[in-house]
Amino acid sequence: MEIKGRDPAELLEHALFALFDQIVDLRTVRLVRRRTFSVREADLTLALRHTLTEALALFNLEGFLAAAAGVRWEGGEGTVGVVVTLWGENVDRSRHELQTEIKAVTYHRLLTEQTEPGAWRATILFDV
Amino acid sequence: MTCEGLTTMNADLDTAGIPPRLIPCNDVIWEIPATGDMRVPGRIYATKELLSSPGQSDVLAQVRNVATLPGIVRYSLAMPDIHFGYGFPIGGVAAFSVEDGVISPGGVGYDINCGVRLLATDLHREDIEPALKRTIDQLFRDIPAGVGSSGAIQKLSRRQLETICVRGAAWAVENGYGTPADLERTEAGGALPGADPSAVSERAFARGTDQVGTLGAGNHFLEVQVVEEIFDREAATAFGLAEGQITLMIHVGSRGFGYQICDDYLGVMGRAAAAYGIRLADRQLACSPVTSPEGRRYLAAMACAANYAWANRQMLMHLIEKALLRTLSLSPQALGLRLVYDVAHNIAKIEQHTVEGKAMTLCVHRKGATRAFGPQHPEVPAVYRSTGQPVLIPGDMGTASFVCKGTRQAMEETFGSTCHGAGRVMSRAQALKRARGRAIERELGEKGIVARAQGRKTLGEEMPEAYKDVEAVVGVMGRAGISPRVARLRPLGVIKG
Repeated sequence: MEIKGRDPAELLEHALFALFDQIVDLRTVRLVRRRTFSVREADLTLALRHTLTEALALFNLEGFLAAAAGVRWEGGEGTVGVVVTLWGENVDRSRHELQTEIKAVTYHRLLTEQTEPGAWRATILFDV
Repeated sequence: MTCEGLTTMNADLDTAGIPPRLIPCNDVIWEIPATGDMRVPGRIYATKELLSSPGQSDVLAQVRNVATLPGIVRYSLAMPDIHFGYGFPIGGVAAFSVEDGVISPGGVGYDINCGVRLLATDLHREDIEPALKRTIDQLFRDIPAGVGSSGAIQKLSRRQLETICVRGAAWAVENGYGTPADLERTEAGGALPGADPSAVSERAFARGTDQVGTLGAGNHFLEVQVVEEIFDREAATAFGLAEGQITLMIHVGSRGFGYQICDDYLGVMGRAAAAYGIRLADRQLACSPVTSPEGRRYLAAMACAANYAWANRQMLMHLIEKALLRTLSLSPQALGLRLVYDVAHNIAKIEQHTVEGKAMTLCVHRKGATRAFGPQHPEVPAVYRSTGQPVLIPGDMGTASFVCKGTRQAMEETFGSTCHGAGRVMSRAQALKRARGRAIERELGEKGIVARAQGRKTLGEEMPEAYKDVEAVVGVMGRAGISPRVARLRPLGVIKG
């Protein structure tokens, strides 16, 4: 998938939407629960993958589906740290049709880059 | 076997940046000569037509990349169902010397021990056809399938999961889900040695707690089939197959448990490769020496996942029998459900092979490739030893699957390996686009196939046109003398996630 954003935080938020949009129609997900986690990695690309992996784990382990996300940057010397907040709900089979099983967020062609001022791009491959 | 020179296959290969010479050895074997960083040549089993499938030039670049890894022996092999994977291609085989070679989670795949189990029955087509729809519907109700499928049996405790890691299919048999005879007809007896639950992460255990006995989603399936044609009567008799007989085929692996283990160790191996000074042409070729602490731990964790998958398929066999007995109102004796064989097609195994007259201990990676051991090999079940190992090749849901057999030539040329299926030619997105406006379930129905899928998009994503022609794929390995056909199985009903 190719993801775009105006800045790295928005890039991660859009990537999270792309992940959950593969799993379920986001219009059917109510924003009734909040989950938060932190990620710290050596660079933005690894932070992107780690963020998506943690979000996928929330679905796999708890059945949590997110339809809204907020990413806050944290400081750190030579690292990228983010705090991710997701809003959504747990799977309700009577309302949620699960569409695609995502096995993992791969390292394949994993890329983040600033294409021009105010424009960032990422490519991610999900193993389905 | 030597290969005569040929200058260029086609322009696609040149623009992909791989060597311009793809040398035909004969009409089904090609070589990429070892140049640049390649330590060994690439060897591709394919016809010219299969090599012209979309995306093949990218795939051949992956074959070339695998050939750069330390300790690789003889060839980076590509089967005719080869298609693009992460780092390693799917449909690839690579064997590494245990002494100075590497092991790579990418060379196994996320779905560790994804594999196939073939069941035979004493039923014939005329026994099941009047009840086919009802049977498929019952199986669809009783076999958990689809995204996040769970709940076939009660949630397993940590202790039970750890036992499954070590005992594999034997755990299921010991708990009343099968017989010891099933283990004899399962690759590796249904459990790889050396499994160590302490090498598995908490997250993997959490994912695996309620997925034993589930089909999952994607290209996994349960099929009810009929033996349509026998090509090798002697082998078919040895395998217990006859024309008109009803069989069932299960295609599934280690579910979330295995996916998590692969993901965990890709991270470990990525750091390890750098630490051991291994240059990677692609990050997903991440690896470490087989005998390194990281390599040993991955092997131990991979074995846990492989054993989980065998327990999964053993449990599914039990659930299938229950469903059939209920629907068809038969006794177990009348149904006669029994295991023909169970093979892995995503795995790494430590095996003994003879390479240019020398006995070697190798770590053989089969990613989308099936073991095909020949006659008299001690790992082939005694009942099949004079024939060779059964090889199970699932096709797409509208065409056919095949039973083949392993040969001595496979042992000599491909480390006892062959293809694993039809191989995708379209991505899921492309297939869905092609399926727009079509009723795939009805199209299959017109072919006499009852199809049921949990996911609304599944049948479109898995449509027959998304795959290579399995007859052509299997034909290549037959013509190459690696795994000749024994029987063709035609689907009558299919259940997908």
